[in-house]
Order: sequence, then C-alpha cells, then structure tokens
Amino acid sequence: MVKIIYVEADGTERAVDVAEGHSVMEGAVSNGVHGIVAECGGACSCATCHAYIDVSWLEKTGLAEGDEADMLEFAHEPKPTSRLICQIEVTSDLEGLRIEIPDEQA
Amino acid sequence: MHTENGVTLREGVSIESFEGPEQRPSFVKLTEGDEVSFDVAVFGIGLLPNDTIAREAGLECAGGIIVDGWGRTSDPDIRAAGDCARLPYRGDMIRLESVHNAIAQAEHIADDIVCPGGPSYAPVPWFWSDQYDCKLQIAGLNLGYTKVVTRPGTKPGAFSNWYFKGEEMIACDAINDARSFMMAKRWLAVAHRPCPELICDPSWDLAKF
Repeated sequence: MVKIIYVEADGTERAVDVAEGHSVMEGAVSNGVHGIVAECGGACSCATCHAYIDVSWLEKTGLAEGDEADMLEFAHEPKPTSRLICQIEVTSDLEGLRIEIPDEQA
Repeated sequence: MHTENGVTLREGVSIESFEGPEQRPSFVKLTEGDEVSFDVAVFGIGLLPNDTIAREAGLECAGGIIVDGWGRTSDPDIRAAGDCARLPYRGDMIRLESVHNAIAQAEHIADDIVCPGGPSYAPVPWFWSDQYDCKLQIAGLNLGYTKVVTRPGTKPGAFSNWYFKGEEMIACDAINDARSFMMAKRWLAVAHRPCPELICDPSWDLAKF
C-alpha cells in the first residue's frame, strides 16, 4: 500500500493507503475523500477529478499532456500543477504524495 | 469506424438459439440460418425503462416515471431520480441515461428535501465513449436542432459538430477534441449563445473566450 495525502478544499488532510496499480482518483473515491467526483470513472473524459500536485512531487507524477492537458485548460481554476488524478497510477515511488483538491470541479 | 477495425455489423437479425455443450455454448444460430461462433457473448438489454414498481405504486408513468424539476412524482411522498425518471428539459419531457444525471439529479433532490425552495433542476447532459483511438464526447442534447456547423480540431482526426436550435447552441459532438467539448459544456451551463460563424473559424481560440 502507498500513502497518499489528500488535502480537501477546506484544508482537511486525509492520509489514505492506496493499493499500487490503482489510480490516485480511485484512492480518493473509494475512501470518501471530498471533492473528487470522477463522473467518467477514469476515462480522462470529464475533468471532475482535478487536483493540484504539490510542486515537490511534480517530477515523479509528471505534467498533464495531450487530452488531459486539453481538458484541464477548461477546468475550474487550472494551475501549472493541475492534473486529472485518474491519469496518475499509484506506484511505490509516490509514497507520501500530497495533492490539493479545488473547491469545485468542472 | 468499427467496420474499418474488422468488426462485422449485422442489422435486423436476431438470435434463434445458443448451441454447443450445455454448460458452455460456443456458437449462435441466427434467424437467417447462419451460425456464428464466439468466445464471449455480450448482451445489450434494457432499452426500455422498467417502471413496473412505480406503476404498481400508482405513480404516473409514460415510458419512465414522470417527475417535475425537483424529482417529485405524482405521489407527494415519492421522488424519483436517474435513468428511470422522465423529467422536464427545455420544454420537453426526457429521460437521461447517464452517470452525470444519476449523480446530479439525486443531489438536486437531496438538496430540495433538506432545504426546499431552490431552482428547478437544469442539467447539462453529457456523454462519452472511447472507441479504438477515438474519444467521443457529447455535451447537451441535439433534440430538434435546426442547424449544424463543424469546427476543425487542432490535431489530425479531430473535429466537433455544434448543433443550434434557432440562435441557441444546444449540443456539441466532439471527436478527439476535448477542448471543444469542455467549452461547449461550460457555455451550455450558462446558456451562452456563441456565434456559428466564429465556431467554424479555427483561428478563433475557444480558450480566449
């Protein structure tokens, strides 16, 4: 299991153990983290699993590209650190990953 | 697209019977007499809403359970949400079979139960499908459109069709064009009326809106 720290929009920190191979989105949804909707279930089609990656982790998660970047351009308050977290697979490299959830989804 | 990818489509044909070993059928007999073998059979069932329970409860139904903009059925103690509900949408009564509606309509009803007096449910329907390398995203419903314009996409194979009813933009089909889909969804939410001529012009950047 890999520990992921989700910071909800009101500042509440939720440290959750997520199985490797799952997406960071699935870790949030299956543990009741507030603010991640994930309407499309992880197909990179809805932009409702938008979150900001802590800058120190960007090297490991990488930046949004292709369709994901196109979707994010029109998401609610996108930033350079924005990702759709259904597109990030949980690996042991991400132990302690910290992400912030915006107060609204697209 | 499916044909190009080697799929054989047969329309107007039904399955007569499944054949092969009892526990593990391996081919079907078609009504035309042909036989088709398979490893896996996938059934598509459920085109009509099953409102039997609602009818038995005495609720008004017409191809789905009739509700108003707050999910209220003809019985003041019963609300209905999701695929089975027939709800008011831009002057029509429609059903919406989508994940988005199942979530949003239920939330809207829950809000109204806890805190009555809010506005009527006004969904922006949307749908998606990933088929082969094609990402299809649809915002809105093109019911009753009077005009369609096409916007070229920014990469090969990408484009979007925008549907208008009079001056009003009512829907967008985006093929490998997530930017157009996102913009259309946002515009539909605020009832913005983009100009068809501008939409057709690829030099006009949606993001600059």
